[in-house]
Amino acid sequence: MRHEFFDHHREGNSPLHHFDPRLKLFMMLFFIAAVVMTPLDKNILFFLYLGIVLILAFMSQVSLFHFLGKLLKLYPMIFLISMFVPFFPDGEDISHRIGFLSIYENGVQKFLLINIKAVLALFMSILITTTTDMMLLLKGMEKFRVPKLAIAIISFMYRFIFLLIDEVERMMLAFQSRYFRLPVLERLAVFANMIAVLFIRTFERGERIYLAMESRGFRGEVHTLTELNWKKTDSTALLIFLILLIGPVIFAFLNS
Amino acid sequence: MEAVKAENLNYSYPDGTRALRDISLSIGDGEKVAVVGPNGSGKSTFLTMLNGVRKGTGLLEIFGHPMNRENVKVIKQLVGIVFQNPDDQLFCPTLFEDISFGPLNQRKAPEEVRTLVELALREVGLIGMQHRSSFHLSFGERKLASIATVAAMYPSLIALDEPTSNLDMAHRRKIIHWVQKNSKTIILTSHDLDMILETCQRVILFNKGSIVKDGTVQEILHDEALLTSNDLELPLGLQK
Repeated sequence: MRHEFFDHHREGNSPLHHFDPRLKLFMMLFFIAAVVMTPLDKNILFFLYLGIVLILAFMSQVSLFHFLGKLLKLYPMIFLISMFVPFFPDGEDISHRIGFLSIYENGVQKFLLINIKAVLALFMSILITTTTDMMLLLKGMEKFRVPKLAIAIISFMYRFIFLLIDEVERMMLAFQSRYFRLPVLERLAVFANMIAVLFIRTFERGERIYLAMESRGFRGEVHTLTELNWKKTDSTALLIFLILLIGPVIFAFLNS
Repeated sequence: MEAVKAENLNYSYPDGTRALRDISLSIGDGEKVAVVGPNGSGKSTFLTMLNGVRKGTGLLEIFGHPMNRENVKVIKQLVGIVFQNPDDQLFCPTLFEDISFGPLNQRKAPEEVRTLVELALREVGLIGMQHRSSFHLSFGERKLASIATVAAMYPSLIALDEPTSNLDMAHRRKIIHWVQKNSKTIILTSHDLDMILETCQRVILFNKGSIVKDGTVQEILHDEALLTSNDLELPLGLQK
C-alpha cells in the first residue's frame, strides 16, 4: 500500500513535528474559526493569517512546494463550488455585462472571500496533517472527546484510502494491458464501468480488512505506542500562537 | 483440554447460501490439524468462526469458553487468524505498526510491544524490516509478515488460511518450518497436500459445507478414491 503518497513527511524532526497533536488540533481549529469569521472589510487580517501559515510551513522544514502541490490538487473542488457565485446578485448589486452574462460586484467579492478563506483553511489543515502521525492525531481527537464513532470513521477512511489507490492501480494495469485505441466516448464508458467495479471491489476488500482488524482485537479505540505528552514548549507555542492570532484580530476590530 | 469443540455448527451467508452444515468436531490442545476440501467447501468460513469474526448457530467452544457476546473478547485473545491474502492482513504504513496493532489492542505496555514485535519478526525471519512499508515487500515476505502480525499476539490457537498458496519454494519451506516447530494448536486450510503431509497429524475433509471424513493423515491423504471423489488428488509426494 502506498502510504508514502499521503504521509511521507509524518516522521520529521522539526519543531512542528514535535508539537503535541492536541496543540496542533487546537491551532488548526482556532485558526479555521478565525479565518471563517473574518469579514471582507477586515481584509488586512488575511495577510496575517497567510503570515502565520507561512511561518508554520517554514518551521515544518518541509518544502513549500509540497504543500502547494497538495493545495493545487484540492483547489479545483473549491473553485467548482464557488464558480457560479459572481453570477448571482447580492441585494442591490452593481452588474457588468460581458456578452450575454451579467457579473455582479458583490458576487465577485463573495467569490474571492470564499476562495481566500478556503485556501487558508486548507493550507492549515494540510500543514497539520502532513506533519503529524495520523494515529497520534486520532489519539489527540480522542483526548478532545471527539465521539468515538467519528474517530472510527476517520481511522477507516485513512486506512482505506490506500486500498482505493491500490485497487485503482491494479485496474489501470489490467486496462492498459488490453487497451489499444478507443474513441473518447467509449473510453469514458469503460472508465464509468471501472468506477462501479472499483466501488464493489474496495467495499469487499474493506470488509475483509475489517475482519482482520477485528480478529486482532480492534474495538474502535485508538492505541498508540507513544502516549501523548504535553510539554512546556507546547504551552509556550500555544501562548505565542494565541498572541499572534488574537492580538491583531482584536486590534483590527477595535479600530473599525 | 479441548482447543475447539463444535456441535451442529451451521453458518449461512446473508444471501442465504449455506456455508457450513452441522459441523461437529473436537480438536485437542497442541494438535496440528489440516482442513482440506475443494473450493467453496466452507474451510475458510469455518476458520473465521473460530474467533467469533463470523457468528453461526450451534455450539462452539474455544478452550472451554462457549462462543457468545460475553466471551468473544477472551476468545479473540486466544485465537489468531492469518488470512489467505496478506494484503488484507497488512493495513498500516509500516511493518512495525502492523505487527504492533494486535499487542496494542491487547493493552500491552509499550516496551513489551516493542519486544513482541522484534520476537515475531525474528520468528519469521524478517528482522530488520520493521520500518519498511508492506508495499515494498515481496509476496512471500508479506505472507511471513502477516504470520508475524498474529504470532506477536501469542495466541493459544493459530488458524492459517492457505498459508503456502502462491509462494516460491524458499518461502513455502520457511512456513513449513515455522508450523513444524510451533508448539501451539494449529488449524490450517490448504490445497497444498504435500505441506500437510509434513506438518499435520490429522486431516478433516470438508465438502459442500459438511465433514466428509475426519482422520489421520494416513487415513485421508493416502486414500486416492476418497480424494478424487472430493475433487482432490493424491499429494505429489505419494503419486507413483
